[in-house]
Amino acid sequence: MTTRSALETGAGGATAGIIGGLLFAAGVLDLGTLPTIAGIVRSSSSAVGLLLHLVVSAGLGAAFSLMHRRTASADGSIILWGVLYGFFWWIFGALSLLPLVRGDDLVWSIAAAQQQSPALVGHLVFGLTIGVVHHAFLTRTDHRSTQMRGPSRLLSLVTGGFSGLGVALLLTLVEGPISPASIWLPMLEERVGLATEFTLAAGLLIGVAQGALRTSVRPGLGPVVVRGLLFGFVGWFSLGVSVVPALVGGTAAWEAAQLADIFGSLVPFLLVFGMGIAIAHHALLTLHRTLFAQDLRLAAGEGVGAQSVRAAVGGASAGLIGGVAFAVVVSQMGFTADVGAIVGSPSALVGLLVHMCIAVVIGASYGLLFRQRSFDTLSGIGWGVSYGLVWWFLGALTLLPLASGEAVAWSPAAAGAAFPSLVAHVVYGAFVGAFVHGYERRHNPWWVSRFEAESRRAAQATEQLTSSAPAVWALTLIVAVLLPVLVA
Amino acid sequence: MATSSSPVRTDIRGALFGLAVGSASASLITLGGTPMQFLLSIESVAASAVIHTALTTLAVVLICRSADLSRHGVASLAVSGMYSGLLCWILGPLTFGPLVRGEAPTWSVVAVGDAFPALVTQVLMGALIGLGIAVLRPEPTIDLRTPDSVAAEPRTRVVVLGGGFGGVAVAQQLGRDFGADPEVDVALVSMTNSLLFTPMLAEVAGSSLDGRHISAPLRAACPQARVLRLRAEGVDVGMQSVLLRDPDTDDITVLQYDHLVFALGSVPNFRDIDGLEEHAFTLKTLADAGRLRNHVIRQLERADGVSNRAERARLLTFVVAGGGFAGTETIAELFDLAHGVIRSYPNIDPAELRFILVHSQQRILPEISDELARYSLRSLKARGIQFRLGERVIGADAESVFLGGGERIHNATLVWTAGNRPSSVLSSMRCEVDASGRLITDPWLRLSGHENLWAVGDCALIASRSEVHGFCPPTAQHAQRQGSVVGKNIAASITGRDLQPFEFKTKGILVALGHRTAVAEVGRLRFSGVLAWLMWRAIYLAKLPGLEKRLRVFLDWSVDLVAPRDTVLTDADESQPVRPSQLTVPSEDGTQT
Repeated sequence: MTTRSALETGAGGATAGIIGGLLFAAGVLDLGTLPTIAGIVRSSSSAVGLLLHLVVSAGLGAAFSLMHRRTASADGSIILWGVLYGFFWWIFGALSLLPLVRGDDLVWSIAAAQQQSPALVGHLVFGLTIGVVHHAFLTRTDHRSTQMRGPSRLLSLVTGGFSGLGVALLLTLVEGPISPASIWLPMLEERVGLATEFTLAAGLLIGVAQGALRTSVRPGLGPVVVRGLLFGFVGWFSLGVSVVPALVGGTAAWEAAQLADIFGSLVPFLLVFGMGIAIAHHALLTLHRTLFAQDLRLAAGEGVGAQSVRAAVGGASAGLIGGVAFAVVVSQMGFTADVGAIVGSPSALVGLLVHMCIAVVIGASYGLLFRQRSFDTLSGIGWGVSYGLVWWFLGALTLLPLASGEAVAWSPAAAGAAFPSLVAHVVYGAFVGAFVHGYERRHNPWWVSRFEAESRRAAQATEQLTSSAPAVWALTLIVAVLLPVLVA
Repeated sequence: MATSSSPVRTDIRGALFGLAVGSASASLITLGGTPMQFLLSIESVAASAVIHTALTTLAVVLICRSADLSRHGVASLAVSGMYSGLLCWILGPLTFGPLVRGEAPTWSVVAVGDAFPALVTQVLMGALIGLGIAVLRPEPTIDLRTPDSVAAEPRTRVVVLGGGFGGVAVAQQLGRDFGADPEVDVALVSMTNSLLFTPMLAEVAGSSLDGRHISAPLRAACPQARVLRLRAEGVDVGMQSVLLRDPDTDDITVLQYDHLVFALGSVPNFRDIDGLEEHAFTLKTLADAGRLRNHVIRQLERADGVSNRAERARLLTFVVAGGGFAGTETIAELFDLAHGVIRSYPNIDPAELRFILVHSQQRILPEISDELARYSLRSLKARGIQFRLGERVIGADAESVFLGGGERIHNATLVWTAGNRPSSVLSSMRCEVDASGRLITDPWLRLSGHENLWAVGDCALIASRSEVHGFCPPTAQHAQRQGSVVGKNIAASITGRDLQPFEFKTKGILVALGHRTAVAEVGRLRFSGVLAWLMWRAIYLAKLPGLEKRLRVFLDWSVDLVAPRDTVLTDADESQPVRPSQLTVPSEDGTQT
């Protein structure tokens, strides 16, 4: 494998940091943030603030690239690490170090966090930038990845573009609160007539981006769904919150009040532009592989049938256990009747039964989608919670109101009202992930082997997991927990 | 920690680290002028600090316990720490905090807003704890790609002789107990690389199932065992070694063991009857079933072109010796095969086909109740199958079978199912055996006087208070349970735990009697006819190892409903019909030849 020198990597990272820092600064130009930064050196000059900001950005960018110097990232997971890195520096830098350095009180209140909302989006943009630059120019070339070839880059780009366009076209056919006009209204305002064009452009752009990042080994549909959700989030804060408002209104919409206005578009971005495109892209690549792969090594591995029933049974059992834990939280809040409304019954008992059935089905789907994806309890809980949160966005915020005959409202108020359900989904996911991992440990511990060649394969698979999955788990939880709290 | 340290040491290290981080952070927060109450919203600063420290300690222990630390990188552990901090925030300030205050948790946005300072604290602390664990973990990250990590000499070597139900169950149980623990090596020695589902073997002979569909690869069934395709030749108990021979190259291998399991099954016992070994077919292996099927079809092909009546009668006479499970199911399947394809042979009158079952006792199927045995006899007789009860085969030649009562049956096909014996490997051992050569075991399935020799399945005589005759019958259901118990007992021996005795009562007995007919005993319930036949198919389909095999067999059966049986000779390239004497080499390890 090829690794660049530390100096080269550090310089590249610093450059990425400066680019990210400039984008950050552009977003907060009108908000008076730069003089605040200059306050660290007892100055009130925006120029001094910008200079200091860029120096710090270069340092953080270099540190990030040096930290990930040996990380293989053929699938673009480094971008999510970058976003997470940006979030960490929002907590550690903007919310903690900055007040301390400026001699202010350290107050980690919700009000302080809301006040620092522009910095949050700025840090996310900064993290995204250094992640993209690192992925494009500084990623380690991993020869082992090329031995287990995935789709060609061109094929992945083309199918990604088609997936994005296709999903966006489908969205343009929808009426009501999920329609493009409703989604784009807060960003486009009087130009909402361009919503269809923006929808198609966003779909194409996000589809191509997902295609560009999908060059590694086959990741499995479960991780694809969760990663897709996160790329939807990346699309939201980069396009929906930053680029489109800047194009239309001249400034990015990074303030807490603006984020609250735009929050309604978050869930469509996550579910449609993120998850929907990722699933469509995965389906197209699978179809292509099934029909046209002439090299057997590129075709499906051991077949869908192998071990699937056992995985589904394990997942369903886990769903049953997780469903009981979920029910404790839900019944505490008196939400069981809401679930019963799906089948038209106001009875709490019926609601509980429906809830348990759903829990078992989702558990079985987890068992199938995340087979051979966890190698310890921590990774099991990580995937389980992430999948649980996917179902909070998809189920509690979207399908449940639809099935109950209510209007879908992805407003901050609706997200806030559904927060207890979010906690329940986290608990459910943790139980399901841990139980399914225990089940795999007993029946098919794929990550351990006494044989050399198989150990090598298992080590490669776990390395791929640890090099991308923790960022995915953490970001999913952050998106689900933090954003509703900040805007609600 | 998870791979090379004991869990207790891991817990102690984690607890000490957590205690240090918890108390240090509590002190820092308090000294920094921020009241500790914001973490759990309880009034007492001291109580808050103590609870905070305790929760931190618990969190660190849980992270160390739940993560395979050798596989995570520094960044991965740091992020996992952040992640754990978020989860602890949900559990702590959002859930237990209100409970400690005597309130019900609401998890509302208001509550979340109140607990926001704790969120920031715990995310940052989680990241620091993750980094601390990464730095302080006792061993460096293991790179499993290096051969050294898997080539360590195992401390305990378990050798399982035989890849039938019993042997596979032993290997699977040990796989469950030890996983990929390099200190316990499990070698599964078998002449074939697959587990044969013997209850369906007669259907392969009857051309209604494909042989490959009733076999499961051993490597898939026992992924943690080393599968060695070798023949067991002898055992040296003193040296604790097994002599193995490669069937392809004749190379000899000596394998050392600490625990040895005999799961060799049985081989046909011809009882030194004159001409039997040379002229009789057996039905123990897939190859046996394939040869018998081809032979029956070949007799039909020849008879169709022969005008001599006596020769036609001889070619179309099929004799099965033995009226137990195997013999009864075999004659029923051969009857169905011949009559199922007879339309393809226009010169043969179905009335010319003769099927004769020879059995030494007055009733067939001694394993089942009188009532069902009578039903079976009646059912088979009604189809035209003839019985010679109370008769023994005393000899055979190329054209005839000789019975003890003086009868000579002119035939071209003789199938021998009337006797089995353990593998000859056992005869070289100085162990306690019964009259038929089976190894006598104690209640824990060890050989008498040997702590590390075990036996399961057909090659063992295992006492059972639950069975009518006082001993376990040679069935798959018993062999599987025995194998599981032996696996557990070997694991118990290795880890110093108590052994468990074997006790199992037969769940039920099912015998297929050919087309849409079977008999079944499940507990005290008895079934016969179509219902029993459906039970037979459903139960054995469910028992087949692996979804893929079940699907294939199900498809075979479905096609069989609408299409005639296949008469393609799979050894058609051979210019001369092959006699059993040229083919059958009884397996010495009880599996296949």
